[in-house]
Amino acid sequence: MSTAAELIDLAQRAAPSPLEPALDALRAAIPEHAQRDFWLARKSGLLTLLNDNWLKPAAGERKREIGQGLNQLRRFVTEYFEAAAAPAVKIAEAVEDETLPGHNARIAPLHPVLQVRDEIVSIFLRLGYSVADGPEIESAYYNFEALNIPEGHPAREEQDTLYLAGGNLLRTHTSPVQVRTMERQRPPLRIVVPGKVYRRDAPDATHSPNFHQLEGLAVDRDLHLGDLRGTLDHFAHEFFGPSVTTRLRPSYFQFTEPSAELDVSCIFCQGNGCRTCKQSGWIEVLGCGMVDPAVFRFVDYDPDEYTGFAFGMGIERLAMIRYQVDDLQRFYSGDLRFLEQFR
Amino acid sequence: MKALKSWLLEFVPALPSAEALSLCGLAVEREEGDTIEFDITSNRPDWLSHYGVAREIAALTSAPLAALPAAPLPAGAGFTVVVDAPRACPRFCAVQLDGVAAGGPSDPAVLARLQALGHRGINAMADLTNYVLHEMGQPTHAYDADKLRGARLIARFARKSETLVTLDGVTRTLTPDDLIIADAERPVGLAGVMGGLETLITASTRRVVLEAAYFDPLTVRRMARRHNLHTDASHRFERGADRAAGPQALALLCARSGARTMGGMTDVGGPGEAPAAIRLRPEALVRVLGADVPLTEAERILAALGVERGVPPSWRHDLSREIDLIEEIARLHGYDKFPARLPAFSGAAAPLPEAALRDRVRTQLRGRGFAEAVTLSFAAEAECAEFAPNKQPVRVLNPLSEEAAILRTSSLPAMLHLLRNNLNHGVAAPRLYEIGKLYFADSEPAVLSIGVCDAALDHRAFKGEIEAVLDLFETGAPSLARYGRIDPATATRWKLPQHTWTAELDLAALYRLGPRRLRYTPPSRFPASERDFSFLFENRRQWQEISAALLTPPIAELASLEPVEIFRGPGLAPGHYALLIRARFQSQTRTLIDAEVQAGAEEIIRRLASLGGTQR
Repeated sequence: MSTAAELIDLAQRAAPSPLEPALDALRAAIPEHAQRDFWLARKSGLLTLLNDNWLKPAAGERKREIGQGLNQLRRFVTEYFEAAAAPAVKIAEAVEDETLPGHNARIAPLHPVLQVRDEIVSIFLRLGYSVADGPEIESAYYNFEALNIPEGHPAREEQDTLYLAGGNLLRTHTSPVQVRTMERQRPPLRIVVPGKVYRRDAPDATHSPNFHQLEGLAVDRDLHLGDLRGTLDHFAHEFFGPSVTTRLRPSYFQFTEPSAELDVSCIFCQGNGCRTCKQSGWIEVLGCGMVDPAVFRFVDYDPDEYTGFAFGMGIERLAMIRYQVDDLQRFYSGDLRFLEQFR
Repeated sequence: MKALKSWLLEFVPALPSAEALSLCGLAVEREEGDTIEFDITSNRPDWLSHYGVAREIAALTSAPLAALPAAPLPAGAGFTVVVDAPRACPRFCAVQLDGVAAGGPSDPAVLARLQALGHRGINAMADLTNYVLHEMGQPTHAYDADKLRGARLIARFARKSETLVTLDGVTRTLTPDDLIIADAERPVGLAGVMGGLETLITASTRRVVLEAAYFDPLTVRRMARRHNLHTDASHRFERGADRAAGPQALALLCARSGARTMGGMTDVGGPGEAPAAIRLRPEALVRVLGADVPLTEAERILAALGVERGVPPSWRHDLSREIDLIEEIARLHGYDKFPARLPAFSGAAAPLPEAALRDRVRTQLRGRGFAEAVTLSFAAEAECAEFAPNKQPVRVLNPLSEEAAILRTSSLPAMLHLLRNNLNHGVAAPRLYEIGKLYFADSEPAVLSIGVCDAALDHRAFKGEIEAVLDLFETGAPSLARYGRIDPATATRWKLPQHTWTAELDLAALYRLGPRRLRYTPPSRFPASERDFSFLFENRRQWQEISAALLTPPIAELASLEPVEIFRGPGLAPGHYALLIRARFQSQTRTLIDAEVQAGAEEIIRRLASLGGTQR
């Protein structure tokens, strides 16, 4: 459009008025005069000329207007040459239809419940918790007695137990592993115990005779309720995200005292109340408490020397919350239409 | 437990928010109009009444608690009560009423409250006993006095094969473990569980005997279980009623019934001795809770809960140890008042020893397109017997169904079910694995099951999937996997296609072998030469035998052998197959000359011929 001479002439004239058409003309001329130095050379580049002839002599209010206009032009020119400097080498050959999807032999999914298990285990591994396990076929002693649930205690019936020929039972929680570990090991102690547990519950959308729990136990000389809170807060933030708030609500378990339920603010409504949290704003996540001194007596720990805390959570429950799964049975269906969504 | 806010407000001036109630342990499940529903843990039977909840609210909010509206009954010389089982029935209070329209309709105000709580009215007396139960928690029972033979009530264990028709019309055969209330001749009630039909209040009842007793929790619990009879009364007695509450319950009943008492209130057993005082050390409080609760606050909380100089009140069976008082102080002070801290720890955290191996197997299978499944540990006995015929299963004594009667001794039935479900849902070629356990009386070995339905798969391709897992481990044990296409008859029986492939791997044994140790030999800098050998063999000559013959004794510079092609079929001598072997010669130290490779090739031909092979 314009020759180089014309452009230089334009630049050397005192600030044109109005400014906009002049800037437009300069902008339009860039592709035709695509040498970087012509525009940007420090001493004789066009932009330097503009600076010297338009901006420097301008007075008062015009200075500001011209300054802004020149800055915009400078940005425009710089971006133009940066884009032009991008590699000209083609890395991909042109195809007829780039919008067709790829042939994707996708990696198969891990089970959502076990993904959640792995995640929780790794959160606690990072806090110094070792992983322990124990038998699923358990004795009444470890499942109940040593957890301070004597024969005839209502808590034995609340967890409808599946009994086995030969006198054993299927563990109703992962808590027996607490006792088994404490029998073998002296404090300090930090363990988590993921595993299958059993209840005599007919299968439905929220029950299964067989599900997964994760148990945690910490015992040391100086552990208290504040440590339990701090640990579970950390867990809740790692698992649900940093914005959730937590609360401990008093509850009752035979093997902890004080006992509590951990609630987190509902992750779906931010605590405002929705269907998932039954309008309460809170989601019940796990049961916990300070280890009852009676349990320490069973494993020969001195309750005046050691304190500890324990917690237990249903892994399916956490998976259901996280993925909004409506029916517990889907987890055991092996249905690939369901499982494949978790890869 | 359902409660009415208006009723609670008779005892306390105001109700805290649902959140505040939940945060002291009175978990509010639902609130609707005047009703409020609590989820009450089994350690707090004292909360199973309006007065009990109000008492907690008063303690929580430092509000005054109104007294229950009844003057105590005069003691002494009332209806005759004999307690033959003082351990199971530590206290038995009774009073006789006269001139009462017990069988008539209830006071509408009483009935309205009971109906709001989900009861239907029965008659004036029965409704009143229910009313008092909900009001202050003490179960009571009303007998038609004129139907009681011998004018007495006896608390005793049943005699063998005595029977009792309970209020629900069921004839119950009693055992010597059943604590009963009897008259002079026969049982008239299952103590703490349900009364008898024959002594029921009816429209013609004029005189009533009221019972308010305290029964041993375990005795009632066992009876309720034995007779599968769970009532409002048994629910409270088996968790622990308030031994001191009987006289007051009777006083409330008498006052509300408007009837005359005949004589005083009989009280066998009395309130019993006060429990021992509990010592609470301030340092123990800090040790467990992490922060001090001001002494005055701790004392205020305990006093508000009725703990006097360390002696818990009669309604709190759950308080007997120092830790129990610490919990109470923490609970009413507020769990959230104790500052959170992430405790420090020195030491190493160890994952499960086999976790790394397990996760390598999972990664391997996942990358090969197998989705991870989880199934239940139960199985039908017949199905497991099919795949693990010689294994003795562990039986469930109270299974939910025949299909879940044993713990599985084979992982394959579950896998076949999963494959079939997927095919039924239109999934074209399901590929699944599960890492689980098998269950025996003395062990729970880890096991890996794999399943595929895929018409495009052949035996060597499936074997390759198994080898991909075995390759992760050191070699060793002879029998680690059972795998292959399922037997055609089994496929038909299971309604599965013929191209169904399954495997069960002994993961426990693989874990014991440990991860494959990685060894390294430097790749040769010199070129390799390949030679192909096409031979005809009898079918009985297998690859293992052929390759062994070529590898021992070693042939100079023979680097590897591969069965490239196997052909069986028409055009070959009957009973024979064609095998194409590719041998690769390579030296670590120099480029091999033709003559060297040729010598090796001739040696191969010689050895193959000595196995009966004919070169083609």
